Amino acid sequence: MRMSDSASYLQIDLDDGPDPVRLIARGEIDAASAETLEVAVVGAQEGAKGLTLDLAAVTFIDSSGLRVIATALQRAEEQGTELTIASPSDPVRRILDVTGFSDLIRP
Amino acid sequence: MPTMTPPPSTVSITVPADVRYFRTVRLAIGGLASLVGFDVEAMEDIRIGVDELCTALVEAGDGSSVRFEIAANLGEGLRIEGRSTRGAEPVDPERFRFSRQILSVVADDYGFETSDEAVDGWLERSVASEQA
Repeated sequence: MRMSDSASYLQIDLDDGPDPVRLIARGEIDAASAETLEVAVVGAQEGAKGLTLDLAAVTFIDSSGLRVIATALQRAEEQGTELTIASPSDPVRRILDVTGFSDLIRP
Repeated sequence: MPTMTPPPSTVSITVPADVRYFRTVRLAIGGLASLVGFDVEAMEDIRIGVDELCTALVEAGDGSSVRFEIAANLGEGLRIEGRSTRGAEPVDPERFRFSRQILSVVADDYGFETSDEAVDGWLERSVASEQA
């Protein structure tokens, strides 16, 4: 499955092979594209034991994207599932570090 | 003969209060940051700082437009001031928790001010701060 938002330059692919499922995002996550990410995350978390967000090819993330991650983390805790972030790019890692999300990062 | 510091160049950008224009503002101000002499990492910082100003001004505004005045001092730094017309609905400060965390790292200084008519947000970043 692929979701994209041409106006905001974000593309999301779902690798729904083995659980945890993996969402691979490419591009920029901002206020214009955060809803696309939110829809993809909610769908991916439904019925899954866990979700990995692959942010290796995300070149920009702002507070709107962080709110999606915070909500996804809360949802995972309520469902007793796991949420991890894989291989964030350097700009994304920096923002995750300063806002307290670095514990979610896995290699 | 003493060297005189040239006055800053001022650039104005006005965009509709629509999140789809944030990227345009980021690109424009990122270009200015390059002109001023910031390195790539500092330009990224400025781009995300501007984006957070956009978010706050649009969410607290009345939906009309957002205006930015950027004072670019070549070789020295940038001061970016944004303004929107104040909206009727108060905004939960908790909504901007991440924005403030980000701005505290990417800007040398920043601030927000709300009056009866307008919401103002600004940030400053100097070239010297990346060398400190």
